[in-house]
Amino acid sequence: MKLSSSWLSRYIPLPKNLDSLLEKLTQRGFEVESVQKRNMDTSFLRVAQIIESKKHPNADRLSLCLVKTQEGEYSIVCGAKNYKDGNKVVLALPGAELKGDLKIKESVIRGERSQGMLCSESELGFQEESEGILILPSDTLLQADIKKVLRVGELTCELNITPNRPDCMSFLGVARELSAILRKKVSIPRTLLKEGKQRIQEKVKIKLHAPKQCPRYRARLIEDVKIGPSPEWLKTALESIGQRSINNVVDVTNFVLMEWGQPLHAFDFNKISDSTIVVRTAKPQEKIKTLDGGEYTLSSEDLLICDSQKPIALAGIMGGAFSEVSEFTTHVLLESAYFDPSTIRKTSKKVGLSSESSKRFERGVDILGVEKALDRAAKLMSEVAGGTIAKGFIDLYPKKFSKRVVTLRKNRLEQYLGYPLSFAQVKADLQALGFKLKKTNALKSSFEVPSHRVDVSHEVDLIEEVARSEGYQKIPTQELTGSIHLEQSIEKDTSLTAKVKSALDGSGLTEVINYSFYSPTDLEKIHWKEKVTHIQNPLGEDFSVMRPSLIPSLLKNLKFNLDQQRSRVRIFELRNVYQSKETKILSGLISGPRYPTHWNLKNPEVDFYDVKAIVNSVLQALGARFSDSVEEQVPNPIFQSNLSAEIKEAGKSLCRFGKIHPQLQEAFDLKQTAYLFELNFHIFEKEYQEKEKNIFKLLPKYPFVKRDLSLLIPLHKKITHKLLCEVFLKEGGPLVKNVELFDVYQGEAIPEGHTSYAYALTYGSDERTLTDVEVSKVHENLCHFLESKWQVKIR
Amino acid sequence: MLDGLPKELKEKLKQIEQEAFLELSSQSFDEKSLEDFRIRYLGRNGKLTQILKDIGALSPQDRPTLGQLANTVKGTLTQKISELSDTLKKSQREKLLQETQIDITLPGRPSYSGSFHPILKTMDDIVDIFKRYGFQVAEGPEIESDYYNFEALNIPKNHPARDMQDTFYISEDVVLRTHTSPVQIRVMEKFKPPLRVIVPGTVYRHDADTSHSPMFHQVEGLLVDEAVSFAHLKGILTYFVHELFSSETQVRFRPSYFPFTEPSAELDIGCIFCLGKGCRVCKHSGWLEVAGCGMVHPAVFEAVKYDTEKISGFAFGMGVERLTMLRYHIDDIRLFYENDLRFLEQFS
Repeated sequence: MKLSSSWLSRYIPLPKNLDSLLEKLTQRGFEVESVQKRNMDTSFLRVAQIIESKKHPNADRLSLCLVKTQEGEYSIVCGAKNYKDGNKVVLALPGAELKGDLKIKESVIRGERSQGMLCSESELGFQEESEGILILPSDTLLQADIKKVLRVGELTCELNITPNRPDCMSFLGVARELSAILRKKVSIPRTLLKEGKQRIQEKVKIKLHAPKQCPRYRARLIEDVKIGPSPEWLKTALESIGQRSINNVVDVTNFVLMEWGQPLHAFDFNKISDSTIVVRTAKPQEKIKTLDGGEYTLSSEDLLICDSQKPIALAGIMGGAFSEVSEFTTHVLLESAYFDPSTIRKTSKKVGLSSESSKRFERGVDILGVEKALDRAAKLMSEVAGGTIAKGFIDLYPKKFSKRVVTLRKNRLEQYLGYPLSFAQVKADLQALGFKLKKTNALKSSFEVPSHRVDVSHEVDLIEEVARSEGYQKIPTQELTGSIHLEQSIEKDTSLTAKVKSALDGSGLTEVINYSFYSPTDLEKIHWKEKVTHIQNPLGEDFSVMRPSLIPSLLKNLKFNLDQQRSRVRIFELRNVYQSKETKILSGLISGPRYPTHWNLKNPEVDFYDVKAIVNSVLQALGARFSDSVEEQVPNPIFQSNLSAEIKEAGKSLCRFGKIHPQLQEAFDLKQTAYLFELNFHIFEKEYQEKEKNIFKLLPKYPFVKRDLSLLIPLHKKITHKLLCEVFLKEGGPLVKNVELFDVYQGEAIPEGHTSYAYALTYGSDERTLTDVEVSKVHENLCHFLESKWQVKIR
Repeated sequence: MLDGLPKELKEKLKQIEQEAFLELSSQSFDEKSLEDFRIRYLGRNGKLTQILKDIGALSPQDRPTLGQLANTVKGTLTQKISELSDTLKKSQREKLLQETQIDITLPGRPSYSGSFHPILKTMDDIVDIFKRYGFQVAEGPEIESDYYNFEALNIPKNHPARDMQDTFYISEDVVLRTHTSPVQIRVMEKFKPPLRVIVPGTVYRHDADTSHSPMFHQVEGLLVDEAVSFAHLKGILTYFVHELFSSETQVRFRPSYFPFTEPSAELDIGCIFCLGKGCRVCKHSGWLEVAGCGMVHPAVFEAVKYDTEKISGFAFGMGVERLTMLRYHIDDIRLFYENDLRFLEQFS
């Protein structure tokens, strides 16, 4: 809501220090979003008229203007383009000091004399930025007081009115709040009318067919008006809040809208068929053309104002094009109504049309204010546009407004706010805001809520009014006390996330956050076939699907960083994805050199075993025990199947990892490959149990013996490291304490089709020192088993 | 009373002594030549050892005198050799230390640790502060029903307050949650007061420009108990601001409107850039809005069937992006979602 001090001061005397008043408004819940002040020294400023302008002979972008003021003629060099000969402008003469320490001097610009400057709004300090020079209204007189022309001393501000306070979307509403702050009375404009002889009922018929959607419809008729420009005071008022003057009749409706917060509509009465207004809901598919040129198709939920034949206004939102007031209008039918807020809001949302009217109706106007605003507008209209107000009014108001009474208990108030208050002071606060005291005793009081306060219906609403009035700063700051019930197991184990993230941090991965929105093509790229969740009103097609996987995001992050000339990328994301259910997934990606660049490190590209190491450290952090887990290769459109693995437990997939499929690399336009992992975090979250307590194991008492074992394994036998480990432990028996793989080799000295695995086996006993003979026996048994059963050669 | 043999031995001993000391003083030794020297005199067949053997063969009367003499010579010689050897070792070590030269300015081997996203780091920090007061972490779905996101929070359909939160719709009755407040309802439906809950989460609003992101993060707090007051709310949030920023940071509560709290407030902090003098960031007001809060509206308690006469409570919600931007002086919200490693790695 935009306010100007000049307009506001019509209703309440404003103090000199407006800054502190605005501060108080903020403290009362009306946030001041911006303030503009017109404070300037006008002694060297003049109203001037451009007599003629021509191009500067020596500069393409400049013009040479001859202007006149009351005092004389001046030659000015000007850089702006937005004026015509004859325009009234503001001239700053030498000596003027403008915004930004701009001092005006007589000067010669590219060989031409300039005796001052034509001012823009920003140079005058009215706007932060402005284009071109300020053009004054054409009827501004050269001898007019420049202070008045520029409204010097005026303050305009933008107030943020919260949706619960439609009553303050008006000057009178803000004045009421100020009156409670300043404890001064609001002077309400007089609405006493001089009416003509003929009764409106003889000329106008109004039928209300939709009392639910339109609880009140009231109208007056003003005949024989003369449409023309508005008087200066009216134009200035509207201009002071940035509104353009249209004509006297329309300006009056806009003025009263801003003054009372009651939207009004003026119909050209001659265009209303059969002099009949019908308030009804729309027929299915019924169309209306509004005065902004739009055409809308409606349904039976929408409310229309019609004449005997056709719709003439989209109720509460915008008038129809047909019945608009024009320069030929002579009789005006003036509507002042109370429309059902949710009806107006639904239609406004549906047709995508929002206006100063609809904003107020959908929040709720003052149903009793309907009449005063109507009379005020009729009176002003007859004053500024002539005309006669027909006698009386039509008021269709079937169900009268019933006043609300709300009770406030002293102990409740004090308990809520946390400090003792004087009840007398509390009552004074509420009365200053227009609440009428109905009943009172030492413990409680009841108040009648003024009709414009549509937001007040509960005791807590009154508590807020008191808190606002007294100031939130009066509420003390109190330390929390009271009980904590930790036995209610609200909390999920968040430590799990922390543990995993710390493991990833230790593996050198950086956490990323991506939007949850995908484009359908992202899903095509990963061959996603399952159901996804679509957004009905996305920001665009590219953001229309809720992501079911984190992988496209990570690949895009890789691409972005590769494009920034990064070759080493290690990232992870732990977020919700949206598959058949919303579920939490951990995904990560590594690409490029294994280590950060260093002068003394061999730095190969990452491979399968790097991503596996990360997966292992994550699983370890999760406390996962994989007694019956299986690692297997998986055919998958995302991974290259021979370079990837899946870990399953009890048939459930826990984790997949490996090298991305070349198709994916191509689809995401990546100049290098990457290794990915994806882990169903939600399974761990659900089934995670604190690891069995770490209980200290005794350190070995007897020395261990290490024996190396180098195996030549035929590749076609599919003997894996995992199988070998199992054999060592099973065939070696309890004396095998540890198995370490220290070398894997293929190449020279190894026959083709073979790989060499070299192990160090540790033998030991908890009861005694093993003899060489004992160890050799076990070791040789093992070798024998491998050679005879698996055709593995011992090297 | 020495006879010929002892005398001769004595002479020989003196001669060896002289010879040895002459050699020691005239020659410069390295480790090897010193060892040779030692062997020559003190080794198994060394000159002095030989004499000692000869002395062993003397008569008991002669043995002690000559033996003593020989041992003195041996002792002196041994000490001298060990001194020389020490000096040699020292100078050798010194030489070695001198020789080992590296460029100490070369970089050490890199550490491999990664980094956490600044948003989630801030979120964790916020949650930790409230945990100290016994708040427990709760979470809820991001795809939420209209009921939990709006209706149960006293925002019926067609309520103008819905304009405060532009909404992404999945269907008519399912939305992307516009705030973490629905978790208040979910927790209260399941648990009885007293409650202290802190809810970190991802939320969505249908707008995108330089200062708004369609997806962002909030932390919501809820406390329900007997006799909870606005003063308690001020207490905990003031503590929070002082912990997250500094104990010098100014705090201001001013009236505002949220349908699910009454009275409602905005929490402002003194601008951390201009310290309240007024700058571009605080729009010359000296204050920065950081959180919304208020006393839980009775209509919300009614929706979860709590007895509004017996209990009261407060709730608050804050935008994590904004707090993170203030903490690290970040001026563009889009940096958080670009995932440029040059940005993210600054927070390791």
